[in-house]
Amino acid sequence: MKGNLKKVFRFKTFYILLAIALFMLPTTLYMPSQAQSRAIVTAIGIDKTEDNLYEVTLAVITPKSGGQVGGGSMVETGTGQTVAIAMHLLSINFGKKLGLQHCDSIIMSDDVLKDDITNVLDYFIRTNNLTSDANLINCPKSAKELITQGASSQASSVANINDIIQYNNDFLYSTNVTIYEFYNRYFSEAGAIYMPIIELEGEKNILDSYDTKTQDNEGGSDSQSSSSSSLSSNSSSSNSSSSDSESSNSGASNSKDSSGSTSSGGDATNSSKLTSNGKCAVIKKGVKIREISENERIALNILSKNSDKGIIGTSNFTEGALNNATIIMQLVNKDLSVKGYFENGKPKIKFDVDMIVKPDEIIMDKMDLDAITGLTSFMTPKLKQALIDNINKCINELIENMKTYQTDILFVYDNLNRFHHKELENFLNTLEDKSDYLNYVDFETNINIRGKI
Amino acid sequence: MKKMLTSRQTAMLLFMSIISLKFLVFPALISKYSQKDSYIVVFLFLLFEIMVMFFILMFIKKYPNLTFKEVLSNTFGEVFSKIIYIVLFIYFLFKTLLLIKETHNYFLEAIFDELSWWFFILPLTIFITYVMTKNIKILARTIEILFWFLVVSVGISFVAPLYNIDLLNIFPVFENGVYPIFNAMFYSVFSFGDYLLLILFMGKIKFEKSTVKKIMSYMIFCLIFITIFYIVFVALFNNSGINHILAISDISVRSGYPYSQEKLDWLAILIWTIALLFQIGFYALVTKNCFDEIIKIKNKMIPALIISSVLFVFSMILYLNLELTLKIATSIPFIISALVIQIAIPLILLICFIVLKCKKFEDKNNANNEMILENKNIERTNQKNKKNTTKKGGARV
Repeated sequence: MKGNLKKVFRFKTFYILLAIALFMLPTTLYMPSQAQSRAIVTAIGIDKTEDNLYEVTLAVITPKSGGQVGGGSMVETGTGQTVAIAMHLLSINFGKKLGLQHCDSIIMSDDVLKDDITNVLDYFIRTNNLTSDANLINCPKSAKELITQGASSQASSVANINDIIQYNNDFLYSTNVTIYEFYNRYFSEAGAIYMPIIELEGEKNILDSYDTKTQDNEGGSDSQSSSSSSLSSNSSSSNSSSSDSESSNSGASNSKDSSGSTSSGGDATNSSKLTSNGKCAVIKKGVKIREISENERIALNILSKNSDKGIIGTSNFTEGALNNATIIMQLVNKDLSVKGYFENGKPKIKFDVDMIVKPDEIIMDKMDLDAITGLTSFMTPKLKQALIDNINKCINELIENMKTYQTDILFVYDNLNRFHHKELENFLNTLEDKSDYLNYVDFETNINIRGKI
Repeated sequence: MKKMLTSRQTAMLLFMSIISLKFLVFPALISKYSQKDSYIVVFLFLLFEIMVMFFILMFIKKYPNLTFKEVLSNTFGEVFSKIIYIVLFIYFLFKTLLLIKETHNYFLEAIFDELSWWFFILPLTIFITYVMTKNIKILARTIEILFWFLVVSVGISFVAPLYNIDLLNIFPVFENGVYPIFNAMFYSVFSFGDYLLLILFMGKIKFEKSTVKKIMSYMIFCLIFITIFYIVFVALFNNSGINHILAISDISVRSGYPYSQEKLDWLAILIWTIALLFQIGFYALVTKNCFDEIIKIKNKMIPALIISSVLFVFSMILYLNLELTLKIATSIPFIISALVIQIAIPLILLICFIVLKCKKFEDKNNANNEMILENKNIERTNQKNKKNTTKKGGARV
């Protein structure tokens, strides 16, 4: 034993390790538990009050020491002239540092999207706290309500919201907009991007089951908490919303203080749910321009590279066994190629789409035996043409709206710029208003549909 | 023992030093000037470095036993060689300092929420001092074990998001002409010039027939590796690349898949931390080797303590401030100095090559080689004889 110890003492490495250990050990032991001083933010909602202040709502998990997540999910709201001020006040009122590393969603209401949102997002690109790939989402009415609903549901809010966003991104129109994706588009010449919309559907007043604190930051003063009682600890308990907590919170929830910071109130019914319906908003230079229509969504689904799920259909179709039928075809596979080029100095963009579809649903007044067969895809030239006509109608609507609103959501500029930079530059120099370039672009779509059983 | 490093070890050490300053702050710095053409800047620079390395290797092939110090002394004299080593000492000292600051910034942003400067710098100083007391071969052996583990892990963390990236984002090429590329090259000059290390390795490499081939193949792999990294960086961050001062971490996190890719963040954090600490140790050791050529001190600990104290003091003066450190690294006088060093040293080597050739030093060198080999053979036979006699003696007892 002694011999072994003597051997150890001979090594220089031992003394180096000892020196580092002697230095690190006391300092590490002295450190307070980080779990107790952190509030983990899972989602952020940003609204604007009537007084033009930012109302920031956070879905927060408060971990307990020993690695337990014992605090459950809470919702906190703070207002401020800027997002940074609101976040700072929230941090004060939590009595904890805000940890944004697990924040995956930043939800903004229409009121916020009325102005350039780079002012809202600036805080998030500067903080070293936000390391995750936070998605930007639009909730037309109230981001606060969406966050509260998300936190109250059985699954965590982020999972719900992100599941919707992820599905949309993977299979429909690639609407997954991260902060950096947004900035990339913002600083590009086209400047337009489409952002997913998530709304609350049905009865909404779930907020009462939470003790949402309101804060007043006007003049940099400390916040005025209308209620400081403990928050409902988890989703199941929050949904049950005891009468005690209701009564204790009612004052806060229906109040509107002088500074304009509010918390919502109402009956404690929880029949609302998060819905997307594939909706998305067109954002140009940080401002919401419009929402995309249903037809445009079908067009985007077809002209988006990522998407390989979707449905196309036609109605009042009569041929063979199909009599005045409504036919829904499911997209099985898709091959899309986009080519931007110049012809006689004029920009052109060509979309070649090759789709494989299979019957998903056939609805007729009187079903025919031949119509239920699984032996055919029913893809006759007539049906093919009918489907192509419908798709072209949707694409034309999308292109017309793009031209009208000057929102290049099909990334025409990028397609032309990548390989025809000089020609594009020359072309843009001939225009009086460079941002109006879409009106001079020729769009060509070649769609081929093949049936599969 | 002059010959210390095998060609594989040399190549691996060079590889690690080349990637050291290029995966964190410099992608953002380069994209500030060249935006989408960042990968072209890096590609051109590295291509130039490889060409210079090839020339240096040719020189080493010709004079495998000569150290840089001996080459300089033989050609220009002792004083000049000391001046050159003083310049190299300052050059590598600042590189170590920049790497320390980058590491501090990386720890602060990616690993720790709060990190006081003393909690970072004091253990690091102990570590640096310890590494500097060691021989370069120990570091070379370490990297031999870690190399593929580090390279594959770093590679995965930036190649994995590839399927989610539109690589066409790197186009158009030369969007704003050629000027931004040269501008970026000018301002990022300090992160390059790693061929100077190969010059310092002169006379310490076990030179074989395949040495040039081996080192060059590693360097070409390094060129491809770094260029792919920059292509991914540009394709992923496009116009906002300037904001990403933690490039390697940001790539593994911000790839658009919040659940699947985020898990790779730990890989980048873990691996790059090891790589950074190794790189700091390596640069500190090279700085110490330069110091040894200026002032000969027998005790290994004294120069190590002097250099770590200097690094500690400079870190404190700069208050571990990355902005200030980068301001210095991208200031015109500093860039010009770095550029002069990076161009002048290979040129001096070229002059030495010509002079030595004129002096027909090659023959002497070869003669020396033969003498050394003969001496070694004699030593070996003597040792064998001694062993045999002791064995026989032992048996008798």
